[in-house]
Amino acid sequence: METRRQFLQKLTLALGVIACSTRAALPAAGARYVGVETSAETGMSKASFFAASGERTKSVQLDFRAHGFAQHAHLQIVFPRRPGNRFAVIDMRTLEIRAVVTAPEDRHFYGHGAFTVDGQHLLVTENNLATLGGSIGIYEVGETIRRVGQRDLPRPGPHELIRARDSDRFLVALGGLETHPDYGRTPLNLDSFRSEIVVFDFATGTMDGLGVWNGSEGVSLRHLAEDDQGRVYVGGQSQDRAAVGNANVLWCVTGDAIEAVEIGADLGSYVSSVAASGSQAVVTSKQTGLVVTIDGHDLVSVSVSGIDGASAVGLSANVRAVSGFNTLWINGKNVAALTAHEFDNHGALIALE
Amino acid sequence: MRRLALVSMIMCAPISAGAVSTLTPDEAQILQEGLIRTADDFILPAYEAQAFAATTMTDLLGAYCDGDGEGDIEATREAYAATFLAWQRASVIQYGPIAEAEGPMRVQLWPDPKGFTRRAVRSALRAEDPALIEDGGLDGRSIALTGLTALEHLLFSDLEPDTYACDLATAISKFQTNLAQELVLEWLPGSAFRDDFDTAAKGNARYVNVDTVVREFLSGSVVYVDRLRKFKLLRGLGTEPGAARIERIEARKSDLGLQSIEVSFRTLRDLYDTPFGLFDVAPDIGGSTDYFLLGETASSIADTLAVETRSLSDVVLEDGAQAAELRRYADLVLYHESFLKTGFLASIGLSAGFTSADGD
Repeated sequence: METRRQFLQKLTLALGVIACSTRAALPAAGARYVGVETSAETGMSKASFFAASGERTKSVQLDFRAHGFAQHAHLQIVFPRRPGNRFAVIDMRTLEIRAVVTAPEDRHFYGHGAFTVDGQHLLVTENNLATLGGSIGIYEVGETIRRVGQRDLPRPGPHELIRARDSDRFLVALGGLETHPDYGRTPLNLDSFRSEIVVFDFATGTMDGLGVWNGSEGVSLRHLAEDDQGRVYVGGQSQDRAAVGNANVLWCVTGDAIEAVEIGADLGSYVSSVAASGSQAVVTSKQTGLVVTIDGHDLVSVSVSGIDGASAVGLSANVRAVSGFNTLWINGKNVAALTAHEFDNHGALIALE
Repeated sequence: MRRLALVSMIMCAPISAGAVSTLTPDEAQILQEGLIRTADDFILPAYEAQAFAATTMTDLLGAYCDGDGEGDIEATREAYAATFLAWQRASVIQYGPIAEAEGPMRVQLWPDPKGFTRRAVRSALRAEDPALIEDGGLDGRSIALTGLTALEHLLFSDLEPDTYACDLATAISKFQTNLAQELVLEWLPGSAFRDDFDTAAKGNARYVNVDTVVREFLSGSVVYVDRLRKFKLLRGLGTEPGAARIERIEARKSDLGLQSIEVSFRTLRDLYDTPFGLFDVAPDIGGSTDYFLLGETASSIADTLAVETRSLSDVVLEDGAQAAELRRYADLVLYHESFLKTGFLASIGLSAGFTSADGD
């Protein structure tokens, strides 16, 4: 007959096995790409996680319409699409929502942000609704995430914000357009706006702009990515094609040098998303369905994606993903969007701890 | 030196070549022909009516503001009403040339909770800048100053002839006339835009396929019905009794709010029912026929509103049975929204593309 001690030892072992099994089956296991799927019926989004094989890992229901992402360690931030005012914090170990953070009353988010290197702070692009000026909201990351400050930007309409490799220098695409949710998405300063890239050094608090450059008139710079050589790829958008014609909307910034990237194909005056890995960047246009791969100024390939509304891009050494309205193409496999849902134009690779 | 490392036109995903469409060439052509009929028989006449009304308004304003006593402010206000209501019909087209630049708010900046219009007009009247009232003087100026809302502000106040305010009103009216006339020209067959619109099924520099046109056109219609529900109906009425706020209704000074709602419902019916137009031909390729019932319902609402003798201001102030009925209409608009957003597109095998319709 078993002694109580033997029974407890067995029980402990059994529980350990169960615990290990549970850990191995965590929903986060194997997730390598996260995208946004938005319901046509409710307008609410899900953060949907996929394995490199294309297998769905889990979809996390959000109570807002989502857009961009930022990750540090086990925290995955899902930002709202403009003019949302809440972002969700997902715990990557469980793929559960850990918190939802709300913007101050006089602000909304633009859909993008990034962590500092140490993950202690999160920087988020915001609209000051009182002045319509752009700003960076600074959030302290601890047990909770709380807003601890802000930094005004020199122009309105900040959109994507990325952190430079290995430093707390943040690059912000300052779209330049004033908008207010009460007026929908109507640009309120279209006749005079200019767009530029600014660099905010979180450690020193300094902010330097690259300044406006010739050829970007009428184009709102929105998306950014930096490759492993420190080259920054900048994608712009113009919804007034009649005014800008087939103006360039793609640039490569190397140090202080800014050069238009000539791809010899039509991006429809609209870059939907930019992602970089190694020395290459991939650029999409939902207007023309093109997926363009570049290496600095060098064109590597121009692909007709075959995906309706090609937009979101995820790129790493092992994962290459592009999604359109209703299809995610990931490492050669097509994955259909959930019924009555569409993919948004941003996705993100999941960094492994 | 820039180097072309490798240029290849390759397929990323094995779905189909070129611009993706789930439509067969025959289906695409059927939709293309429906779009052309919609353009010829609905869109163009809508802009022509707006341009005609605006031209009349400008002529009457000019005569009134001359100060020779021949003008008639009431006739001018009626012409304003005709222009305003013509726009409520044309604004279902939130697509194509009108969507350029600041978009449809170039014609009517409303709602305007921040009071941009009021401030712009006040500032202009204070400054009395002669450059503003010269020909073309409003080009490139703030949409808060150049739209119908600003004009309403001037026209339905004590507008005296032979004053700067009167000249500013005339300048705004001319600006709107020019804008409406430009929209007509851009939708005329043979224009650069129409050439692209009419040949989208074959693909061209503007449109990779007809799917894009259908999506963008419907996306604009969704904005229209969303505005009808959220702004024209519920902004002033609120969602429940006691929530009505008169200062939030559309066209309060001119008291055209209820007519605006009526025109909007009738517009939906007319758009759906355009013979051989987009909705009418879609059933040939399996498209939904829901538009017929939706159109009938919209028409019935418009007929009911047409015989209403009270203004929207009266209804909102009373906040009684008629207000409740208008709130019910707002609920009915959701069926139009669902149909235009996804139902129609799904029935012809197209994804809505709503996630990217608004940029970013």
